[in-house]
Amino acid sequence: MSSSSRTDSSYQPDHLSNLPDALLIIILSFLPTRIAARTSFLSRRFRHLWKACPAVDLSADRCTNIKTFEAMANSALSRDPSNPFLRLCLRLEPRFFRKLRERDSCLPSLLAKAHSLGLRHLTFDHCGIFDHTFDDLDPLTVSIICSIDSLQSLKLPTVPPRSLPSVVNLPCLKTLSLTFDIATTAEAYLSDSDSDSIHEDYSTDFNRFLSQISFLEDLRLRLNLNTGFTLSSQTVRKLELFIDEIFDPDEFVSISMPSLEMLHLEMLNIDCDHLPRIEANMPSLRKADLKLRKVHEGDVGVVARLLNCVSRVEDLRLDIVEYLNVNYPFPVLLEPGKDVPNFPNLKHLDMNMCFHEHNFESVMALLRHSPALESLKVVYEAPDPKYLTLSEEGRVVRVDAVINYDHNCIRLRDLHLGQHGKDFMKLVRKRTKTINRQEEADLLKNLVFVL
Amino acid sequence: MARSSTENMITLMSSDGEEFMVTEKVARECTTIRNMLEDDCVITNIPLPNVTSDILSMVIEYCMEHVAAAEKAAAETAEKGSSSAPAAAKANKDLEEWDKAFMNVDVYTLCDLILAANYLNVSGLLDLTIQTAANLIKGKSPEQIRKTFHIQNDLSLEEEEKIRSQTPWAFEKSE
Repeated sequence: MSSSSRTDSSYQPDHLSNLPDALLIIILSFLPTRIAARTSFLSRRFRHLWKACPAVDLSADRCTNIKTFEAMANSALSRDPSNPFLRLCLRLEPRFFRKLRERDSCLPSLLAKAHSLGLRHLTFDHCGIFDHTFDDLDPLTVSIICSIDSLQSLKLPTVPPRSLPSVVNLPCLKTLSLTFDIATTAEAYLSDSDSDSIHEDYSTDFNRFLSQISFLEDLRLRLNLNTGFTLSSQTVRKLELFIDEIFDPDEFVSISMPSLEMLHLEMLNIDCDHLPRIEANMPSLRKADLKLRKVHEGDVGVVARLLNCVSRVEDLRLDIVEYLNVNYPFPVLLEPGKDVPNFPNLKHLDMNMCFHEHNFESVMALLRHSPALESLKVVYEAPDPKYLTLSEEGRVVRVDAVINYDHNCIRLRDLHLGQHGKDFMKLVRKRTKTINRQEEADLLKNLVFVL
Repeated sequence: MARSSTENMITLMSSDGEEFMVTEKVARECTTIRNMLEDDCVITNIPLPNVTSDILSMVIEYCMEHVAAAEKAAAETAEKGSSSAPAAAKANKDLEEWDKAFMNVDVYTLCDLILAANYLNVSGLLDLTIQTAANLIKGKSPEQIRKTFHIQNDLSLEEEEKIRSQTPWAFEKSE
């Protein structure tokens, strides 16, 4: 193999070799360690280069041999401690992860080694198909990870309640991402205690865990719940929260975060016929991004309550997809006849939803209660057409338009507003300081009133 | 290259003496130049002895495209901070496509672009070129990588054997 090049003494530098080591190391850092190590075979210069990579990526699929993985982990972490060790990525296929766990010492010793090298960023993740039964993190692994005191960011897969460590030593950690799974593991506990005490314990344990991370700022959390949950932290400033569903409509999720500035909330509602209720205390909140899926007819109270919780924000983004039934269209934003919350600080409102007659009224009410509004962006989201047959013909008012209304300029195209067209124009004029005549003429020309 | 006469123009001079007039905004995409301008704001002529004219013209092309895309996005969302709607997603996708087409170069040019992006400190271009180089390494045998990058193999047979025995896992076929 390559005998001619080896004997060639009139060696001409190639272009890749023109690059300084520092740049070659960056290139190798973009590769999984298995591939990066392959470059040791290229030439003398490349022989040890890969070992200086600040990032180690030990991803493994289900075909990966466990011995191969161990050998790879050992070589990759037998590194010169003077080379910074910034990132470790363990992206493991669930079945491989189970094999790895069966070998008692492999993962703990790998993590202990990473600890001794001063690892800063750890990504521990699933790859392939998400599979609850195989990939829960065991208590020992979590407790070892939570003692790596150099960590600045940490991404974990599903952590069951029993794996939460009682002692956490993560003084530098600012960013944490994990799935906390009560629903799948709770059944095992149901036999020996009642469900109320489980709820208490899970929330308390989780909040105790969070409170031990003294400088945590950025939390990305997926909650897999079967009961209500209380989430609290004094330090978190940015929260991304994903909640699938809670089956008992009386249970709710309560958020208490005095430092929280940005909230991204996604409620996915896969099998349930109602959204989880949210109660929140977030006095510092400036920005809220709410993504609600499969919003049912009965959910309007939940949504209205949520809007109340975020009423002091400057930036609000709503992304709503309704679940259509025979009563569609129904109100989903504000409860008819009830007080509309005031949004005294709201400057930017961004909405992505279907503006049928009820929602349109709610949006108008919302705008009237937002005196500081500077920009409004409205994107019409058509309801899923496969459900459209459910509604009687003629009942749905179609708004086939993208309304784009930034500061003092409005662009409206092919707007169908039904009987609300006049109201809308009145409101637009009131909100708009300067609108030139040509623009207004264009605007009116494109307005189509459908009755 | 000038878009408006009111904008400050900067002349960049390549190693082979060619001059490129660019707006200050485009020049500022290069952190190295931005730092020079901040240290000495009256400077209008910058020699770049490490960058040839063909590579410099590509770097400028990249910076202009990205400045234009950012300006367009800023105009569309005005001073609004929040992310928005399909238009922004499409613009991002267009820029990605542009980047992809821009990276359709031979390995010599690619390596020169990496060096220039590093020297001029254009972080977006550096990430793009490094990722492209990494992609060229992926899925190839050592022999194929050597061929792609014209790397001379100066390892002895004994050394090759030793590397194989030390890191056998790197040479196993999987996937």
